[in-house]
Amino acid sequence: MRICFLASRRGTNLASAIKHIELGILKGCEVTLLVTNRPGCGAEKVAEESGIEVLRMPHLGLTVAEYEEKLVKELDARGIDLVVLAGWDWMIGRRMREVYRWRLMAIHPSLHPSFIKPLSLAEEVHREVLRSGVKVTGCTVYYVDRNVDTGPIILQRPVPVLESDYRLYRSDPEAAVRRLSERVLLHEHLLLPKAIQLHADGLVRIVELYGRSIALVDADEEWEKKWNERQRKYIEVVRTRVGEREVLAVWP
Amino acid sequence: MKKLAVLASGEGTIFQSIVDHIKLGILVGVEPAVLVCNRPEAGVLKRAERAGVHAVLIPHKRPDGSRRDREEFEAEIVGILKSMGVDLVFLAGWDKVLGPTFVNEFKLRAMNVHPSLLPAFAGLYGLEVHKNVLSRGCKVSGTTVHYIDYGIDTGPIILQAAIRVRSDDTPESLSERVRMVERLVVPMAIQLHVDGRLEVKDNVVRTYLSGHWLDMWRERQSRYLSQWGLEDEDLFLSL
Repeated sequence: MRICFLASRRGTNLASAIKHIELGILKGCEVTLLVTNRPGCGAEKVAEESGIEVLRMPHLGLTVAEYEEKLVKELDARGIDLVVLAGWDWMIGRRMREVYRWRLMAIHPSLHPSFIKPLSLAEEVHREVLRSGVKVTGCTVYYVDRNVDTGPIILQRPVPVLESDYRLYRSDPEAAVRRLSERVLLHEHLLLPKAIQLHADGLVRIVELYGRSIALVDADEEWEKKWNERQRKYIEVVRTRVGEREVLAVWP
Repeated sequence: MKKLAVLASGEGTIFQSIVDHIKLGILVGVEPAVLVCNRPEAGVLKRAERAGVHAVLIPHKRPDGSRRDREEFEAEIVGILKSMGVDLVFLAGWDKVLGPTFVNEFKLRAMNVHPSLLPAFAGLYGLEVHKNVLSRGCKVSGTTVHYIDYGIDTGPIILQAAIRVRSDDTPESLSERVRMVERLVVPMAIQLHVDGRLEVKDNVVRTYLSGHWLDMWRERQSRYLSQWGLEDEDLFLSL
């Protein structure tokens, strides 16, 4: 399966996917292309370091339709099977949604349907979360559907908002936003590769329920067990890298 | 000893859990002073009788079937709670929205439990919540205990617990598992309040919680868990 990432920011989700492939956790997949609308962003460096082709496509002066016409052509030429939006800060129009229907995946730093703010940066989502006083937030991987912010949910993972986050929020709101953002990111890095593997294994089924498309995951316990065993390797690597222990063990 | 009133309209599984936690000496420093119910056919009335908790039926409809004036209905409830010296009110599957007449009187002294992770699926009740969770295709749901305010399901959040939604879940099976979680987190929220460990500022609940408090609570609650054979492997609790 040939995967293309669309990214505008640091590219940490891209890095995690690459790591999962390197470690033999994410199987049958390769990231063959990164498209970025922000030349010079962190994602670009991540891709370059791993020898992944980078396509710089600033959207300045182009309409969404023109931009996507060009984009679809480029993706077609490279035989891309799956497009992943991770930290992509621009619109996704009708053309992309139609051509890559149920092959266009995105990750969002909240538990859908909570805290969906159209085209907002992760920091804005977490700021909203801290303002609301919730005790659980999380992340969601979904297929982009009618607009870029919603669609059938493939996987979700809860993440705690801690009392210490709120304590920090009262003295330094932006530091609290960064802290929560980093924690949720760690979970995103686990969730997105799993969703990609499910997709690659043909285990995500789109069904109509009450007049709406939803994604059902058909992975059995055996699959889950094997995946968790493989992903443990990644968790070990990440742990030594970021030194964050508490948050990775909480969700079975 | 703080006096607790429970308002319920249905089966009363949460009421039962509160009563059991008190009887088992898990939830301490609080007694169930009164159960208020608005539906004569509700199962919770029988549970109150069995548990020896004073129950009051205050129907929201007149004998001829017409709806009562909301303020008058709420004033009657408030009157009873005040006359009994109630300190804390818990809405455990209570199906009537309570307005200013009630909220003014019990601001930050009345809690509600909502069977979803708020702010998702606010404003829905009972199985409707779980139907919507499933039709939205959510993979995680849960429950929220919060203080009530003037909005619907908008008050400051005390506790939330998340559970996995399974691909073969029905609204009924999901409701069943969420309720199981509620039986654990509702008494905990009450205990935190009774122990004076909750403080509200800017609509956010501040929880003064030590590791020691949590260990003690877990140890006490294990008695309830063993009695019911509940497993918490699916449970994700955040404070």
